[in-house]
Parts: sequence; C-alpha cells; structure tokens
Amino acid sequence: MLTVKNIRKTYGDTIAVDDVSFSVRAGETVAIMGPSGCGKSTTIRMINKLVVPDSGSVFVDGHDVLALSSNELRQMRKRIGFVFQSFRLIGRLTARENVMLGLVTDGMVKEEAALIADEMLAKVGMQAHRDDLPRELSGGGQQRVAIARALAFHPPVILWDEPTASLDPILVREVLLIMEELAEDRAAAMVVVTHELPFALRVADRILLMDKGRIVEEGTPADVFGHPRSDIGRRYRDLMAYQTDTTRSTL
Amino acid sequence: MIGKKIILLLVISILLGTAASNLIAEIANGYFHTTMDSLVGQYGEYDFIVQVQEEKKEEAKPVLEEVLSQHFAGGHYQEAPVIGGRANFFVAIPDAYKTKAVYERIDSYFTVLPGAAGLSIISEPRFSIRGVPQGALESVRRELERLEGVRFVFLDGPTIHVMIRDMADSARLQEEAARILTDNRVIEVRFPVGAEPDSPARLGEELARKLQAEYHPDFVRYVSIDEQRGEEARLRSVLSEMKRFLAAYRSKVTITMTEGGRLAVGDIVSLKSDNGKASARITAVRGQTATAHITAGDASEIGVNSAVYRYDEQMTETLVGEAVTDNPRHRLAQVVGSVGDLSAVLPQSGEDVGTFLQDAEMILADYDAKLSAVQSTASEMEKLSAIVGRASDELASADTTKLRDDLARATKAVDNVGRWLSLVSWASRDVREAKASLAEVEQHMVTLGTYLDEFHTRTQEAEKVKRFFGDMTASTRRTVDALEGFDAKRVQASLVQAEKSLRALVETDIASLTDEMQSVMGALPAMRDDDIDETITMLDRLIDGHLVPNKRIQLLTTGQLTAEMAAPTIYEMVGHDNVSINESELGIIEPNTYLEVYQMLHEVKRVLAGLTAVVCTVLFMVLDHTAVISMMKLRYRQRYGRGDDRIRQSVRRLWQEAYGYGWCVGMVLLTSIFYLAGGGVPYLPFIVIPVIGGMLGLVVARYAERISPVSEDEIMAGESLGMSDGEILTEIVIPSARPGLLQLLNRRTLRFR
Repeated sequence: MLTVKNIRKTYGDTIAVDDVSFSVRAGETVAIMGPSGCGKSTTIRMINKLVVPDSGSVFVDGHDVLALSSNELRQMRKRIGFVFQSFRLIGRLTARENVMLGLVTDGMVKEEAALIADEMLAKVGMQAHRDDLPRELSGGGQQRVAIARALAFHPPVILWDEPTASLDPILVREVLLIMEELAEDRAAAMVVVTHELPFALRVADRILLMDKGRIVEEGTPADVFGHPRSDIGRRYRDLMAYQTDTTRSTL
Repeated sequence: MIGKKIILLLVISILLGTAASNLIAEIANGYFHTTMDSLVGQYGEYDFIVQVQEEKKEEAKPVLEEVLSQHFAGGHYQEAPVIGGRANFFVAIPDAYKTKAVYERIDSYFTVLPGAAGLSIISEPRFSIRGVPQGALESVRRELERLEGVRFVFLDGPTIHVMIRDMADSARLQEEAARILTDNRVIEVRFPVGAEPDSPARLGEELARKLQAEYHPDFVRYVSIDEQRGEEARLRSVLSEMKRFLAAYRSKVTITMTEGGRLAVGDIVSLKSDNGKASARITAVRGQTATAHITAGDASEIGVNSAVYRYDEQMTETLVGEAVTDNPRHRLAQVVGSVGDLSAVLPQSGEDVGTFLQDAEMILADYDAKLSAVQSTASEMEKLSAIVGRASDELASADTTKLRDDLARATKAVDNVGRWLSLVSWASRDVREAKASLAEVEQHMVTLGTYLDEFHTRTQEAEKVKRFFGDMTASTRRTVDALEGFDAKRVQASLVQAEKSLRALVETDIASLTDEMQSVMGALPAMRDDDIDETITMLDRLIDGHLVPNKRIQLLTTGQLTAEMAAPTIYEMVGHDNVSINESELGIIEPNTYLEVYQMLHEVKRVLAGLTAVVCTVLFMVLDHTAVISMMKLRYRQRYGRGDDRIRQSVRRLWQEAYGYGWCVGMVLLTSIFYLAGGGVPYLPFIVIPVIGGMLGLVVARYAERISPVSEDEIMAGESLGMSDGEILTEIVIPSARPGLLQLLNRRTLRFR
C-alpha cells in the first residue's frame, strides 16, 4: 500500500532524514519511534509531500507521490489522512465545518458533507460538540475532531504525527482508544509516530526505531523490544522494564 | 480562481482609489478656488481691477457705475477686499469692448473716479512680453498679431500684452512668441562716461547699414530711441537734484592755515574742539585759506571753531590751522527758533507801536493849533522885547508884576510845545531843530524869570534885560520859522501808512509760518555730515554712469548676426574698443500671475490627487494584499526555511515571489490610480511613479507578516486535506485577515461564512 524508498531530507548542513526506506501493507499499523529530533515527523510528512524530500521516492497505492502534478498531489492527499500533534483545526470553523471543509472543497455538496461529518464525529464521540468552535473544546476533543477530519475521506492511508503528545494522560487514552479501534478495523494502513510505548506494543504490527535520521531497527514489537540490537532499542527495553516494575510495585 | 480574484481586486482597487483621489483633490481644489475667487474673482470673469483710496470707496461707486454705463454698456463691477488702504473693484466689460483701442487707453476711462489709485488688467486669456526695446515694439506687435489664435495685441508702456482667443492655445502661442523673441536678437553697445558718441542715433544707423552690408542677415535695424529720454534721464535728473540739495545741506569748513601750515586738495585733516572731533577732506585751497567737507563725524560735534590737525605717515599730529564751520542745518534750526520767538512777542509789540502811532497821529492833527500858539507866543515875545526895549530905561520905576505874569504864561506855552515836539522829533529834522530852539527859548524864559526877579530889585541892569529880550525874540523867531517849515500833513500821511503796514505785519500768521518751517525742517533728512558726504559720493557714481546706464545703441537683428561677429565692425565704427557689447533676446515672456495662481492651484490639485493615490495604494496593499504576501512568505520559508547560511538566505529572500508580488501590485496600483486621478508632482517625471509604487509594495511586503499574520498550522491543515493554495487563501487565510476589499470579494465564494 505504502512504500518509502531511500528518502533523504537535509536543511542546510543538517541531515534530518537519511536514506529511510520502509513499506506498509494495507490495514497494517506501523509505529515509528525514536528520540525527539530523530526525523520521525519529517519522515511521515514527506509521505504526503508536506515536506519535500531531497531525494528518494514514495509510492502510495502504486503512485509515486513525489512525481505527481500539483492537482494529482492534492487528490492523493485526500487519500492520505493526516493527524497532527497540534490538531491544526481552522479556528473560525465549527467542529462539523472543520470535518466538512476538505469534502466541500473537493466538490461535495454541503448537505452530503454534513452527513459524513456527523458520521465521523459520532465515530470519535464528538457529535454533541459538532457546532462548537475549536477554542470551546478540550485538547482531547480537538484532537478527536482532527481525527474525524482525517477520516472524512475514508483514506486508505492514515498518518499520525504524535497525536497524543499535546494531551494530558487522561485525554491520551481517549485518543489511543480511537486509534486502536481504527487499527483493529484494518480499514487503512496506519503509520503512527509516537512515544506511547504501550500503544506501540498493543496496536502496532511493526515498529521502526529511528535515530539520527536513520531507521536503526525494524520488526515486530516483540523483536524490537525483546531483542534490541541498537542502543536506542536497548534504552526502550530498559524503559519498558522500568515502567513494568514501577506499575507492579505500585499496584 | 484566486488569480482572477486578485485581478478583480486590483481593478476595483484602482477604480475606488481613482474615485477617492479625484474626490479629495476636487474638494481641496474647490475650496482653494472658492477662496481665490473671493479674493481675485474667477479666472477670466473680470477684466480689470480698479483701485481707489479706501476713504473714497463709497464716493467712487456711483462714478464707476456711470463710467460703465457711459463707455461700457452692459459692464458690471464687484467689490473686492480692501488691501493696503486701497479699495478694489473687479470690473467686467462686454466682449464687444475688448479691443486694442480700448485697452490702450483704458486708464483714461477710470481716472475720473474719486481717489483713483490705479488699474490692473486681468483680462484672460492673455500673456505679456516685457523688455522689448521701444524701437522694436511695433514690429514685434505686428509679428504677434499675425499668429493664429491671437485676438489682439496692445501696448502698455514698454510691455506688450497678447490677448488670445482660447486658453487652450496659450501654451502654443507662448511658444511661438518665444520663438519670435529668440529668432530676433538685440545687440547692445554701451558707452562708458566720457566715451559717448556725439550722436548715438547717427552712429546707430550707420552701424546697422554697415553690419547689414558685411554680414547680410535678414535685417539689422537701429532701435534705440533717445538715450537721455524716459526713465533713465529722469532718474539722472532726480539724482542731480538730490546731489545739489545735499551739497547745500552739508556743513562747510573754512580753514585759516597757520604760518607754515600746508594743505592740498584731497588732504584729510582732523578738526578738534573742546566738544569733540571730526575728519574733513580739503576741497579747495586759496592762499592761506582752505575749504573742506566733513567726511567723518558731524559739525554738531565740533561746534563753530576748531583746531585743524594733519597727520603724517607715522600718525604724528601737526597743528595746521584754525577752522570755522558753517552748519546750514544748525542755522536753519536757529532761524526756525527765532521765528518762533518772534511769533510770541510780535502781537504785543505791534499793539504797542500801533497805539503810539495813533497818539502821534492825534498830536499831528493838532499841529496847526499848536503852531499858532507858538506863533502867537513869538509875536508876544517880540512885543515884549519892544516894550522892554522902549521901557528899559523906565523899568526901574515900572510895575513888573504884569510882565512876570505874561512871562509865566509864555513859559508854560513853550513848555507844552516842547513836550509835543519831543513826541514828534523822530519824524523830521526840522522838528528836532525846532525842539532844540524851543528848549533854548525855554531856558531863556527861565533865565528871564530870574532876571525879572532881579529886575524888580535891580533896575540898574535894564540894559542887560533889553539885550536879553532881543536874543530871546530872535530865538523864538527861529523856532517859529522851523516849526512853520515842518510838513505835518506829509508826516501824518506817512504815519497812517506805517500803521497799516504794522497792522498787516501783526495780522500775519507767524505761528503758522513757524509751524510750517518746523515741518519743513522735520521733513529734511536727519543726516550727519559723514552720511551726506558718503551719499554725495554714491550719487556721483550713479550720475557718472557706474550704475545708471549711459548712452547706448541697440540694434535689432536676427540670430544670423551675433555680438561676437559684430564686434570688430562696431569697434571700427566707434573708433575705439572702450565699449561693452551685449547680446540678448528681444524680450521676456512674463508669467501671467493670475494664470500662474490658477495653474498653481491646478498643480495643488494634481499633487493632492497624487498623494491620495499613494495613500490609497498603501491602504489597499495593507488591507488586501498583506495576507496574500504573508502566505507567499510562509510558502517560501517552507521551502527554504531552515539551514542554509544567512547570506545566501538574505540574497534569496530578496528574490522571493512575495516581494515580486508586492512590487508588481504596488506599481500597478499606484501607477493606475495616479494616472487616472490626474495626479502629478512638480519636478517628478511620471516614469518615476511606477518605481515609487513598486517601492511602496516592497515596503509593505517587508512588513506583511506583522500587518497580517497567517496561521501556518491552519495552512498546513488545509494542505493535508488536499486544498489548493487558492482554496486555502479563500477558506482559511483571507477570512482571518484584515477586513478589506479582498475579504468582501471573497465572501462571494466563501463556503463557510
């Protein structure tokens, strides 16, 4: 469904992403993990060309995203749902309008778009707040609206850029549950950039560990965290052990 | 889509900006025009400004109306503000009267106004030319009259006024007039003092012929008329009079040189007195006497007498004489003072002398009666003498009582006559002699009394008495003869005449005379001697031609003959090269102040339109285009935002499309609005306006993100939803931007309002 080949991105002399390649099958959930600044967000933004890679290629459903015309790219982006860390809702539009926006600008009549928006909002538990402006919603609420917006096109690929990073732990769970549901549906290939270790362990089919712009480990959660081969993998394993011990001893 | 919107926005912005610029310019222009019209009338509405003294304004109105009805039927006038004590009337006359003949004698129509103080021609459209030599006025006038569009040309002294039919032709006609003036040249030959030709006119004519023959220009004409005529001659005459007056007005110093003292003309000496000192220049020396004029200081500072010193090169002081200074200003002041004193005492003195003359006349009127009394006394005396003679021998026994009584009466009579003669003794030598004789008689009579007393006791001295009587009778006879010779009637007539003259003198208004003299003295310049000397020197220079042009020859010719070419011929004809030769255009087109003011107002309107165009451009840029520019800059940052060295970033940033957009929009907006609103800035060519517009656009682009920031989050969200830049602008950026035209236009296509 999604293939990333040797993508590379530099900012001046700084290498943000270096020769990253991976692929995601339809319905598969892949978590990208790694320390801050390791190039995770840049990598998934290059998938829908929100950030233009210096080299490499990205194939979605057989189409080379980087070679598409601007019109084709816009059409492609409608097939790739994107959930940002900071929600990025349009402040002047209600929750429902935020969800409708992409559909309406794509040419869908408002009424039809409204039905879809209501359906999506219901899916993320936000139907009751459909007429609220983003500033009237909690952080979790805003992120759920953002998820509804990303789902509106029923995209075959959904990219998650640290969707819970801006949320407090209680709200994190709300969002993670939705993501889990989506993953269980297997309706879309999901690439999730996250620091949520439990989520990765529970939901991800595969984990990509990145460090300094490169993928240093790739495999199932059990492989990566059970038998880490990289330093960063080992640190994740230690963290996981620490969290488990703490939980056990506390409980 | 967004491109169309931007173009539509630009078109609407240009139309609105043009309307706003025109509106503001028209409002300001209307205000200035209204103000101007109230001061000087509308352009072309009136033909003349007639001025009269303010106090005669009301009196002048009916006369002005009469002049208009009499000479310019249908004409009218409008009162204008009083300026500088002069009331102004705008006068308009019907078109039919606007002719050369009327304009050349227009002054004469309005001189009948009470308090007439001047007239200015303000008929429009018109332009004027000045500085044309008098001899060339007619030929220039003829050439101007031939120009297409000229209505008529009239002369106003040395100025040529050209009335034109249509103001639109003004610029063209002025250009053609300028060409006439440029094509024709005046070559002027000026002669310094002492090198003037005997007959400039003859020399001028000969020069013209010779230059024509040698250089064959289209024409060479002698156009000077009379060099000593007109204003220059009058000026020279006035200056000479001023000099004469000042020369008489300054102090004169007469120096008597000491033995061995030597002075020469031009020497500067120092005059010193107890009061002060002054310097003087020797102007004449005759023997031991020199005259001088004070060059530093004033006569009042040294008084009448002063010592004269000369200084040698080592500034050693030597006494060379004594000076007496005659200060006419001081004398004048004294005379005025004396006349003032006279006016104070003259009335009383006249009254006293008048009374005296009246008394004298009364006495003279009684002269004959008095004379008869004297004659009678003389006769009595003679009789007495005879009696005394006859009876001298018998006197011893004679009764002298009666005789003594007679003598007492006679003595009294003589005494009366004597007092009377004292009063009139000034009138005639005869009277004075008679008075002297009478005194002698009186003395004799006193003596006689003594003698009679003694006679009474000393009868033996009868002989002595007899002789005495004889002497006394003779003296009395001489007195009577003298009195008879006195012409009392003539003296009386003289006294009457003298009294009349005296009364006339007393009736003279001496006070007014004094006042007038003081007024004259007050009007005289309060100048010190050194000021006078300096002024006279300056006047000499002026009169000698240093500043006032002396004789000259003016030749009118074409541009084919230059002063440089003509110089050798001129030197040859004049006989020397001590002349100055200049070449100039035939005249100067004088700016029409009235037209200039209106052109200036037009300029103001254009400037205001231009400034409003600038303001509108900035406003439209700020309100409508900053959001677009901000988004462009965001896009740029997304492409090149991080990394890269600063210098490369700065250079590349200058070329980003946001600045290009700002430049283009600013240029298009300002240029279009400026042009359509008729904007203009003096000395600024139109080609600069697009550059200014572009620069404004750059400045706005530079600060666009501060003026209208855009949300990068929202834009990226839009991108991730597959929205185009146009859709992002329409749905996300513009609705959140500053309210403006673009936002209004955007509402039409906005999906979520």
